Amino acid sequence: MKRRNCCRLNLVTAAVLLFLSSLLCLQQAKADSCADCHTNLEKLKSLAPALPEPPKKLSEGEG
Amino acid sequence: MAPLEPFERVYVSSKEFLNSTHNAQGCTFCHNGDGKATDMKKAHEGIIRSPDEKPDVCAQCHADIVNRFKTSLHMTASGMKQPLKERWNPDKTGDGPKELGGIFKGHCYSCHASCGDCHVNRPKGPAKGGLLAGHTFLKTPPEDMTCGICHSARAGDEFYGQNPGAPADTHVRLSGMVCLDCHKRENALHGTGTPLRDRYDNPLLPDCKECHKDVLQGNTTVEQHAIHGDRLQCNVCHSVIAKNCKNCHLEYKEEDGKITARFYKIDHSFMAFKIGRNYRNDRPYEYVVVRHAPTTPDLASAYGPNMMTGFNTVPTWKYAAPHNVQRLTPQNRSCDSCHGNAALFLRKEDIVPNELKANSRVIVEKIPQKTGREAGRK
Repeated sequence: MKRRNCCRLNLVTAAVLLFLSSLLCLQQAKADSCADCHTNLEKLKSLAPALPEPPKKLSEGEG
Repeated sequence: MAPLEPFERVYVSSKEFLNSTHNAQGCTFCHNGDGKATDMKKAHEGIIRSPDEKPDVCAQCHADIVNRFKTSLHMTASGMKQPLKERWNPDKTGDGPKELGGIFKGHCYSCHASCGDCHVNRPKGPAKGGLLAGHTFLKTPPEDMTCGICHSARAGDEFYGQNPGAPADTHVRLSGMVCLDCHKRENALHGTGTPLRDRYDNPLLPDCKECHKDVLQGNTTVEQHAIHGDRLQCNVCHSVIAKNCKNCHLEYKEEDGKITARFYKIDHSFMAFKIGRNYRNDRPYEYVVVRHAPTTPDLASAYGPNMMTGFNTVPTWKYAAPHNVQRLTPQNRSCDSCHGNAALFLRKEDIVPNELKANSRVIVEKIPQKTGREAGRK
């Protein structure tokens, strides 16, 4: 009986910890505003013309 | 592979990533920028596109791998830098934009790979970058979107039979092997901890004999293996026609005294199979497969005269291991498929006049004589 209670307690603790850690992760992702755009394809598409392009590297012939 | 649209390249679509340890500290931990800003320009101020370019970010958790990786050829691109350095004019080896340091960084080094180029992104080169799997960190990335993009011109196309007249490598055709089956990450891809001159300098390079133990002299039932032993590199008998680069010219555009773009002018490659004399002291062979490297005496002449005063110190027909291995090849069907077959060997007439001196150690002056024997592999 005592052993079963112990297992149950461990399971509950694990579930609570899992919940808290995923909450923390979500919180981190939302902690900055980056995710507002970078997880929203439509928004990124609408911003497309303004997106910075990497420095141009031209090449001719065969790479 | 079609490049992604610019907005697709920065689309973080992976929920797995958002809930992963790699996102635990938030975007700005690795990428900098201003995470509180609501204005796009302000948010991207000081942004680091590829945080792994300062690999200590990754080293916080993966110190061992990162420390070894700093010495890897993927990171140092030493395989390109070393021959360039040896050929270069010693008076022009500084870091200025028109000296060795600046030219190497602006041209060749743009092909190096950092941690993220395999584990997070498609490589920047022909694929123009973009996330592999919505920013999920992939322990084993898909080869066609990583290895295959940078190494497609030679090894990749050879291995998968994409070159005209050359079948796919027997290891993929018959056994479905992939790059990592031979190129173990712990041996080569992540470096050894010791700086290497080039890939053949790696003591842990894949070795055919690791799997094909029966080809060792004294342990073989194949007459040709017993006769030739270590005098021939395996590929001399078991590789076929492969891609060779004709040349490469480093060019640039300049505005108001500042270099605004660096680019290349390259003539089309050609297919060839050539056996040359071994010029490497770290290989026991007498004959090896050679292929023409993307270089030429006027490689950097756009940057000024006499840039490559040491050009003749390094062969332009270089030791090679074409990744299109076959059990039976045109040259191993019988003794005299190779012996006396001058077309297989690198001769003076195969070499452009201004590269003759550079290749003097590689040229086969005397073709091995015909044997008159009919013996061959069945």
